[in-house]
Amino acid sequence: MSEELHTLAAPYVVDALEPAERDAFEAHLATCADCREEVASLALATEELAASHAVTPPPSLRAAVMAEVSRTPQLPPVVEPVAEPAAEPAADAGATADAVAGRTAGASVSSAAPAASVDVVDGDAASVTPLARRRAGRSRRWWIAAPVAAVSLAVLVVGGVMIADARSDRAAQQALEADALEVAGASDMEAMAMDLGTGRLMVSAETGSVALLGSSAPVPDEGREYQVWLVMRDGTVVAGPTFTPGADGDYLAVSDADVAQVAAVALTEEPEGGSEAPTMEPFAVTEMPAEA
Amino acid sequence: MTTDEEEGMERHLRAVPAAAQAPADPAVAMAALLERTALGDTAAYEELYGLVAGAVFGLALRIVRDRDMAEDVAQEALVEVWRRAARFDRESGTARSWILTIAHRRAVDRVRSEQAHTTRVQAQAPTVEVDHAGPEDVIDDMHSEWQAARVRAGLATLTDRQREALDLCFYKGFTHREAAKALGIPLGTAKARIRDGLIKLRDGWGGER
Repeated sequence: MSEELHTLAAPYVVDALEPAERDAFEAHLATCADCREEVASLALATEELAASHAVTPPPSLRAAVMAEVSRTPQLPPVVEPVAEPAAEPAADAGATADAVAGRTAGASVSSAAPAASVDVVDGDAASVTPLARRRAGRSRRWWIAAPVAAVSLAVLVVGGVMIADARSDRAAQQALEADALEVAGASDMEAMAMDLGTGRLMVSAETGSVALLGSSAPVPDEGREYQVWLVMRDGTVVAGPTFTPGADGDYLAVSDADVAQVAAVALTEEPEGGSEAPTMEPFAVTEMPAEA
Repeated sequence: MTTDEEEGMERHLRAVPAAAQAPADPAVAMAALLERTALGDTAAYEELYGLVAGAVFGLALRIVRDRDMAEDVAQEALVEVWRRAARFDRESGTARSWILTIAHRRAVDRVRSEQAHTTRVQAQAPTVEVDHAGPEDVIDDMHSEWQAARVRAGLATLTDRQREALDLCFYKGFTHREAAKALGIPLGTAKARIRDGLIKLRDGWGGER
């Protein structure tokens, strides 16, 4: 599998990965020295290519940049999303807009939003909104409509793992990354915003799975984890994996799913180990496109 | 060529050999400036700006093909350099590479969203005509003739197919999947062409140093 991942190094270096794929590959990069080496080596070529087009920039650029810089706070050396100021400056407008769109509409948001992809990668994008404030009015409607009691249906807990935890079982982590990449690489993959930090939900009927990937997620309270719920078109709610973001807010969760029957994916906070039925209203809900 | 351009070229010539150089290497100086920038040193940042703004703007222009948009992209990228300076890691590459990666990504993201890229690419049948960019096309707006010659020499060592795949992905914002579809080749082949092309460029340019 790592060989399969390895082949993404070249497209990664020329920025030719889908945003979701890029995120997944960067997550892998953190744990794979071979791929890091390959990327650094190929980047010698792209650096020369990129640098070979230098032209004198318009004078207005310097003034604009220096003005912007003077009011732009810098990121600390270690990823620490909590320390981020609430008001993100213009450079992040795209990411913020993307996140906001996902938040207020609770609906599908294109994953191609420009500024978002860069920021998602390092997990330091837009400010984190407190969980309590994130409930989208629209999500309530159908969530209540979903008969929570019918959860006795197949309960599948595929498992979630935090990306950044070096102590986590490496094999399990790589398997999870591989699963996520499989979804990301599926030809029918659709990506949507998921309102947990800067989250992205990828679904593929081809692989029969949904993958949730993101960063800048607040860490849940002690003894609690996030849990994924699949709300099916017939109204049943299927328990998905639980996960806890890493120290830098990165997270990754993959669940098998009969994608055609999934109406929405929701997130709750549950006691450690997860619940069979949700114990709270979801704080984030992403509905599938009408004809997913 | 104007005086400005000549000066720019000379500056560039001096700044080019980035890897196998004496300790007084501009790449090292650039890394130091970036590290000082990370500490909030605006003077260091401004100096850094002077060293990279031309390359950042030129790259953006090469990709988005519109001066206003390129200026916008360059501004975003350069502010991001300031914002993320502390995340630069000397161990994993040069400062210039780190900065140009940010600029490239911003430019590609812009192209993809501006052109309703997805729709455009999906509409492309496998046989639809692709810009078969020869070396001339790839380097048409290059500033420095010396650089141009160097890049041309490198690109000339590539096969047409490698060059084509690189051109679509690096300059036109195609994903590798989109490039494979547009070229009517398997994904693995597309990835291999990109990789082989980069290796050939890298090795060729490395040898000149």
